[in-house]
Amino acid sequence: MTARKKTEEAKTGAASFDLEQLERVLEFMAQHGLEEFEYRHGDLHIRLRRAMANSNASAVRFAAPEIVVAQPSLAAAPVVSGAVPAAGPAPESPAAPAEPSPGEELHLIKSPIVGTFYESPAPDAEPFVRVGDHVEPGQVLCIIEAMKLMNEIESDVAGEIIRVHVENGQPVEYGQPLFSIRPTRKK
Amino acid sequence: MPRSTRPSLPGLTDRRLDALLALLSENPMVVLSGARIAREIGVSRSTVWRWIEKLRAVGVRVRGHIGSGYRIERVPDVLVPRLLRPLLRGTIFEKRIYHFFKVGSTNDVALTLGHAGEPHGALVIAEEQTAGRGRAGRKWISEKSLGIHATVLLRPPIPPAQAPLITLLAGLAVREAIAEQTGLAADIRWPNDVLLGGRKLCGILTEMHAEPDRTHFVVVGIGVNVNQTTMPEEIAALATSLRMASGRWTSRLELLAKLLIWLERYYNRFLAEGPQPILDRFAAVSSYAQGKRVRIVTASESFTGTTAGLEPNGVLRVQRDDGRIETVLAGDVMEA
Repeated sequence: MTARKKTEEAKTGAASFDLEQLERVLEFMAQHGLEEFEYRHGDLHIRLRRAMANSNASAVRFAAPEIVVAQPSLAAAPVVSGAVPAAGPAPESPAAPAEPSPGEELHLIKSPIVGTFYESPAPDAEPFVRVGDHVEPGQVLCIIEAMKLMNEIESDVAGEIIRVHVENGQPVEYGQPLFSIRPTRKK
Repeated sequence: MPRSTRPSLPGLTDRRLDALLALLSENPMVVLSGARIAREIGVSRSTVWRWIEKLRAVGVRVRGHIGSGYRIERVPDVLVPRLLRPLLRGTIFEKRIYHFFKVGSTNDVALTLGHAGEPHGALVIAEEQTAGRGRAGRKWISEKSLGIHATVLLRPPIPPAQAPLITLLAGLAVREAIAEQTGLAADIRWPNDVLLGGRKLCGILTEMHAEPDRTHFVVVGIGVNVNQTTMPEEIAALATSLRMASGRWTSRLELLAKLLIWLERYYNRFLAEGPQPILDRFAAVSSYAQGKRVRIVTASESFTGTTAGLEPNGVLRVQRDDGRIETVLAGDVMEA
């Protein structure tokens, strides 16, 4: 993705967070040597990332709004891409183990119904899975509740949980991505 | 294609025990010798004695002993297939009835059956649950043979997005069955808690296995407090039983049969006509549908407001005190 494209996305995708504000954040990040910036408010989710080797080559990325109304295909696309391919040299800093590599195809688990996302079987119980966990096909990843109908969402692949796209108790739309999984390569 | 192999189901009631109960019930005034019973159902006399003890433990009144023979005092109210099936003739539930005297959770059994390819209409019943489950990992207290603990397995030919309506129609089915059996007009707290005098006497936990465009199966677990004379202290202010509310004993067999008949009736109507008849009936019988002051507690917030009807998909509309209309997908609804 080019920087220009991202700018356009910025205009259309996040009315409540204009470009000027973004530039200010980027400046702030450069000043303080910050590599990453994440912002969440309501259904807006912004994540900025700078390539540390070259402070001019700032990469901006918009995640899809976490709540996308009745646009399942829209919700699916941008979130998968994972880390932003930086314009400059690749960041040298050690990435989190679960971070996907640029351009990597991740498997998405999406919600089959509109409902509320639960990461665990009961409020005080451990989450079904965490980032970095290895899962098998058929393993329960979360519950989506709608009108006291509990839908246990299972993984349909074996692999590693790379990202949990929603937070416990958050409402989700039909087709909204819940998990990104890096499938285990077949030998 | 779903596999059709039946998983092993530890604790499933022995068919011969079912036959023993049927034999006693068919001869209520007759003393049957242990030897004759043993011969007819194909077990040893000591097994007959052991099983009679088991039946007594769940409240079946059997007179006599191993030497004199046995006689049942009245037709037992045990939900075994041989006694239940005749009441379910012509329904989808008559064919595959799985009865347990004691099991962890009927929903868990039904989920296992569902994954193993069990067909639409399977019915799982327990006299006692040791790990009865409610919403959000809550417990459902299931005492021995005093309540109904049953789960049905459905394979609805509808997209998962429409499946939540099944939870509404299940609550309605329980409400209609109670009215028919006892004459009591129960209330329904959205989506499907059945209440008498503001106290809960039926809880329904529905679980689904689905992909975004395909519903594999839905299990509807129904717990009804029927003949309990007291409630555990911790839930006494919130829960009741039919017995406590009406002062009368109710046949679980008859109530369960009526409930399942109503469930199939509403289910078929839903498939044929869509949600409207269900929504209309809900609006007619639930005091929570419209104009009720409620407190809503979800995983992320809590607020008060006034109910303002249901959305076409069954979701509850609540007008907040500041005037905004909120749609409640999931959460606890309480009278405010």
